[in-house]
Amino acid sequence: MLSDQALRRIVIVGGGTAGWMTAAALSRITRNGQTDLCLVESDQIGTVGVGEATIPPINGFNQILGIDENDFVAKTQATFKLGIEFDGWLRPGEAYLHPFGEYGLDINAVKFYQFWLKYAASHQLPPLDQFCLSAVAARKGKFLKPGDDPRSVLSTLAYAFHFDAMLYAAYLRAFAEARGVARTEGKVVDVRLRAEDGFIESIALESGEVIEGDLFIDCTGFRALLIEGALKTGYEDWTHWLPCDRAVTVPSARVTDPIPYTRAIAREAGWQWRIPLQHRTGNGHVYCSAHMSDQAAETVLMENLDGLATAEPRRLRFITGRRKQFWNRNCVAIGLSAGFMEPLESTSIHLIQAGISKLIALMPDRSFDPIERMEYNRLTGIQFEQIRDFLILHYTANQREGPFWDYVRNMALPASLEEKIALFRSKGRIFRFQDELFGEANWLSVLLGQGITPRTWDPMVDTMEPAAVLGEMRQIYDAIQGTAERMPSHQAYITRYCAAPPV
Amino acid sequence: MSPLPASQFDLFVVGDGVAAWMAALLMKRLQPGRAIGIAACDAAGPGRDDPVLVARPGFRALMARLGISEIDLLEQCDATFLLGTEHHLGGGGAFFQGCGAYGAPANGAAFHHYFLRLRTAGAPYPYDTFSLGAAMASQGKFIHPADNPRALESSFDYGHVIETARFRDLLSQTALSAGVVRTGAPVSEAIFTEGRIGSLQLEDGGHLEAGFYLDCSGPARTLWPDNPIQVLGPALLSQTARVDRAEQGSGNLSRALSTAGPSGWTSELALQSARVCQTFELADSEEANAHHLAAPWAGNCLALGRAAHRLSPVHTPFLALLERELDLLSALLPAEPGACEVEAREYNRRINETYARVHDFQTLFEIAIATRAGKSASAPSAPLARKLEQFRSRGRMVMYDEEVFSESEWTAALIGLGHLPERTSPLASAAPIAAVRANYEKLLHKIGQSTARMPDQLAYIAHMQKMMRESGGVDAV
Repeated sequence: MLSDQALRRIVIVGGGTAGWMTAAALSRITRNGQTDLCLVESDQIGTVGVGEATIPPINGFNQILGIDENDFVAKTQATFKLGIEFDGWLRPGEAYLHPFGEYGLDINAVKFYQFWLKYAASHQLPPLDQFCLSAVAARKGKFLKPGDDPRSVLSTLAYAFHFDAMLYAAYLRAFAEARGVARTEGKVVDVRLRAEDGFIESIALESGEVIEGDLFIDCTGFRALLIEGALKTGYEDWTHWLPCDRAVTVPSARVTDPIPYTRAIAREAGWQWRIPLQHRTGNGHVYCSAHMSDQAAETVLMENLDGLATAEPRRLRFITGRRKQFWNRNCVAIGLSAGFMEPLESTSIHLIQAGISKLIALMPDRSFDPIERMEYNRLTGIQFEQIRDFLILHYTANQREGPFWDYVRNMALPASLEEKIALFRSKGRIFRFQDELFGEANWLSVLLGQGITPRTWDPMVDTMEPAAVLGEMRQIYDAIQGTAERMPSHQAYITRYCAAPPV
Repeated sequence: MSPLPASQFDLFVVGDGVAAWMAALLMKRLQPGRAIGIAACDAAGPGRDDPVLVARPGFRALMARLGISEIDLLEQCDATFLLGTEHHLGGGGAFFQGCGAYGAPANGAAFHHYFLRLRTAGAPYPYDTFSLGAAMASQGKFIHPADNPRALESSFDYGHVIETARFRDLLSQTALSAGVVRTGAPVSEAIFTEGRIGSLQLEDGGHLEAGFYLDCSGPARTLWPDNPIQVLGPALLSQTARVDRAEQGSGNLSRALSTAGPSGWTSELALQSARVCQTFELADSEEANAHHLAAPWAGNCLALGRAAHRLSPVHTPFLALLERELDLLSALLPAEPGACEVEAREYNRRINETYARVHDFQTLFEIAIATRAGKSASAPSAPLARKLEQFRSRGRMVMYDEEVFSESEWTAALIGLGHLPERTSPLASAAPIAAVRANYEKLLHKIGQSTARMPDQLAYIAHMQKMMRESGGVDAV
């Protein structure tokens, strides 16, 4: 049902990961013959290239676009990712893994981890992550794609990617341009609003060219040229919950075969990431400027690389939080212009992807019915808050020393997170809210990893014969360990299927 | 069996209907080592339940936990397999509301977007012709869904129609066999200590104590009669007393029929041996307000079934709600009497949202009926208004946590009741209409072929029973 009110032109302002992901996804709707899509970007303006690590929903995005995975991995210097290791977050010298994928198998409709809670100490069971194939494979440096057969242990594996965000943007640019998206080179110098309703009418480029459009998508990153610069939408600051506000990044030379997981290492006033790619390692240090100087932060990063730096360090400033409206009038902010949360759980690219999906589901026409905008803002707001709560969880239960860690340990928490922790402390229960991105297994790994333990287990566990349960747990353990052992190494898999050409 | 000393009950259930016995049996199955007691009270009884109950697909998992098989339901409760409801709106309008799939999504867009494109292009197919479940239901056919998710025969789901009195008897017999203890005297009231139930007063002057109590005493709420309620809004329909039982013998068992009248409607549900007709009329008084307890779990007492809610009878939601109540209770089961405030808060939050979402679905139908009768309809709740707006605007279905009715049922109901989207997804709009038409006409052909091969439900049930007799038993559902 095509409306005579269909959008005539969608203008994406800004390239980079957000801009080209949006262009690639929206290129599918230009086939209606009524809407054209253009992207404006300037080679003079660098991109942040944030979010080199992803989470499993990226696979859905790639599948919808019809991207060939091996081709994409090779062309973006990508590696596979089975989880994130949090090193020193509870206390120095201890690490835990937040793996993708589930823990064990439910027994008589009772969650597997509930049995582990009961028997771990009394029967000296292995750590919980030894019952998760993604975790076991990650630790062994193994990788294989999940199987289709739901009866196979291999079907429980879930994975994402590490990739070079610049190459990813270039890959999607080629994809989008091949499907009719027009790219215009140019720097935006003015945003013109309609007098009658304040909608964006056009953007003016340095060249003098004026580009009109019905819908504008702001992918201009932290600058938020349209949503904030022109529309003065406002920003909600969450620094009191997530106080890190600076990052310094630097690439380093590859020194060993890439591991199939991201590392997040706690530091004095923040944390350091290490992301293995095929051709290099991506490094960054996120820190709180109230507790550490920029120079000290850079020194911490440079002293903790596993290879030689291959470029000069680059500093970033940010304010954690969200735009008060993600969609304002005829402008939708996608990517860093919508808000920013530190990449502790690799959510930046996911938030871009989720924004695009919602925009497609709520695509307006030229009448711009406010209910579409309101629904987009409601859903995106919920998602930002859910991710915010999950990130805060990593900080709040720390047993580290130092003023930064003291602050995050003692700060007041959002009520939504307080309730979730209370429910878990009581009997280890975790419930998912409103299509929450992070599910039970994700919350479980971080709750337990941060030392939050339930007072007791689900009473249903006590109704089952211990010997039978322990026998079943043993079978699950053996199946997972055996499967992981038989998987090829991560590097071997890449070499065989998707090796990038030498740089 | 003589009653245990009062102090030894871990959990005590008050009531004598389906909710009470199902709760008692489930608790015993989940915690066989615990002492579970049950007693009737004056206000409750099986006669207060609907003559027949409608179970939704999720009910099968609950029955498995109770240790009751599908064949038990068929043989002892006169049950049938239910694929959905055929709604006749008057003036020739009709639609089918089933739990299974309608059509198939394509290119990232849900099927109903393509249906709307076909309709605009003049294709003469009603929405439900693209549902295998609807085709089966219209012809009284039934088989169990296929396990292979790629098979067309996996695209439908089913529930049951069950005779209430016989089901209650089956539950009570099973519960007593499992070790649930029935006390002799009915309960008259609860004795409170510091905001919690300390003991129960029995009508014979005795008393008993338990760590946790389930109030399944129906609207009387014997254990906590002054527990505050939360009004959801007008429940426009009340159930009349008229129940007609027609001999069955043959006919279509696979569907429920719902026929709109001038100020209400008649529903017809099929058991194996009878058809049960119920008439629902628009109610005028505020007494018909739909409501539920603001805190169904308060202290050491949890109200279930009609002790916890009074919703409209539209779509016979009693069993679906009981299933959800018991699922939540199982997930939040207290290990010991005290220290369950967090669990109670979570239970109340989620079950109250469930009641509200069911009320939304009922409101959708009640608005249609009230409008036809020329009566003013109640305003939809904010979540329902959002759902209607979003669907009208561009066919986007908003689904909330704790929905009981599935997305496919909501979509079928909205389209069937005339809430058509003004636009479709741009992803569906981009596909050439000739290709869309060819693709879905192929599906219609497959649906026709598949349905033709299936047996009538009565024949299928007879075949199942014969197979069971020959094999000598059956596992739980």
